[in-house]
Amino acid sequence: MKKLPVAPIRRKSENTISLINIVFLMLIFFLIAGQLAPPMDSSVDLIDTRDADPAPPPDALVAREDGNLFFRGEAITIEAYLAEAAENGARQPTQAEAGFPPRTQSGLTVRLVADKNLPATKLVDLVGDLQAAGAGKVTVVTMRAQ
Amino acid sequence: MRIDLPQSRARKLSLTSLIDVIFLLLLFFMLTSTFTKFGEVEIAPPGAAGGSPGKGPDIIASVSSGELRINGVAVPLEEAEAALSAYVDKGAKAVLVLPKDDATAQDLVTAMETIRRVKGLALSVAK
Repeated sequence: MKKLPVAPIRRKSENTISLINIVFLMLIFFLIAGQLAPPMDSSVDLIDTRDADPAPPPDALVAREDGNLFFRGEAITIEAYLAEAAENGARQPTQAEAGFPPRTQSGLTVRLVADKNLPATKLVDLVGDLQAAGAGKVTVVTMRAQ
Repeated sequence: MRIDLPQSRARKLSLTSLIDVIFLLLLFFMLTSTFTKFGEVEIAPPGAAGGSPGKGPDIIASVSSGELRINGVAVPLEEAEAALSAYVDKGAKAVLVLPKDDATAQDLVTAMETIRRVKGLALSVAK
């Protein structure tokens, strides 16, 4: 039996240039417009504000609507959080090194992400507990109006 | 003797690997970036906000859901700024914000923002 030579299949090269164009555009958009941040606790609705000081995306202590504390998705106590923050704070550049005026208050600055439906009395209690446990300034992370 | 070198043909550049990498980068940035604008508001207990120590606050603002009572008088949030300015003109320097049981964190922070817009008032929060 004679083997017939089969003509090699020629695939027409697809026009990928336009695809890459669009993907490149999206890539550049996300590179420039987005800020890298660890994912926020999705069960928390941030407090809306109009003229709060701008802040970087938080990697902070989260107080859910029922007042329970979470850090990076795991339940945590105030003491454990402060211990961890003090440990990490030693490795991070101080505010003076980062170009900010040095802190005048002693103690760690704690950023607290609070749910907007958390009772205000509980929030104030939490702030009090944090400061009793050795935190310095406590700020609440909010969402600025667009 | 003549040696026939294999003719080097300029092959068409394969775009598949390039697209692979770009897609990966795109996915990474799409999943990790956040577009929320964050802000922060300081909550200061009495005495830490620079108010004169040893002296009580001049204004007490109690916050319940959707309402602000300034020194006992219920004031709608829109008019709170004017009411507070009137107190500042009379010499008030420090405000103590007291959230009531039915106030949420949103109410508290909204009230605090309103009070901060009035110049010359030290703000502290207590329960």
